[in-house]
Amino acid sequence: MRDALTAALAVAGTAGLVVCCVGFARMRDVFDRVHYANAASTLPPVLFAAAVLLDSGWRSSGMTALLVAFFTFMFGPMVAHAMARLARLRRIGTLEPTPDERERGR
Amino acid sequence: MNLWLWCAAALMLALVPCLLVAARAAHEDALLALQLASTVTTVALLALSQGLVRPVYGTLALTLSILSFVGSLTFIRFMERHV
Repeated sequence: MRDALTAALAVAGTAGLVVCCVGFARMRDVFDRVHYANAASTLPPVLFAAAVLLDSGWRSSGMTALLVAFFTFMFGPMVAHAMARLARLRRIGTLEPTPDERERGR
Repeated sequence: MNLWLWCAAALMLALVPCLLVAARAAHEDALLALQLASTVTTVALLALSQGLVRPVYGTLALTLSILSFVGSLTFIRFMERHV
């Protein structure tokens, strides 16, 4: 039972990352791509760390996996936010709403 | 090959789309591809650590997860200055 759960979590984490990578490559806009890159840094590493934790218990490997998932989970959205900021600066030249966006009430 | 090594192999294949985007798309897309590739490599190192029973690879994954964040932010700050 425990082995099956470990395998299911590891496969789910791997599949999540693979789906994010394929989706990332298929998108054409950087703002769409940010979603896939951010999704890859949240759930799949946590699922994978849970699998490692189940497999090796609260020993060195399990704790390392937990820390990796924690840092990836914390840092991924920060990079995504900074990346979206950079993309907007490079595309539009300002972070402020443009007159057109103001008019549309964004 | 055990399950962990199969997962690591699948994750290595998942790096191909990131490499394609990094090689062909605009700079900001390439930087995003680098960030995604770092996440994938981090998890692949965890899988290798379990599959080959080498805990030191787990330490490498932990180091990469922190340093890739710092590296990405450095690149972003650098590119923001040159807008």
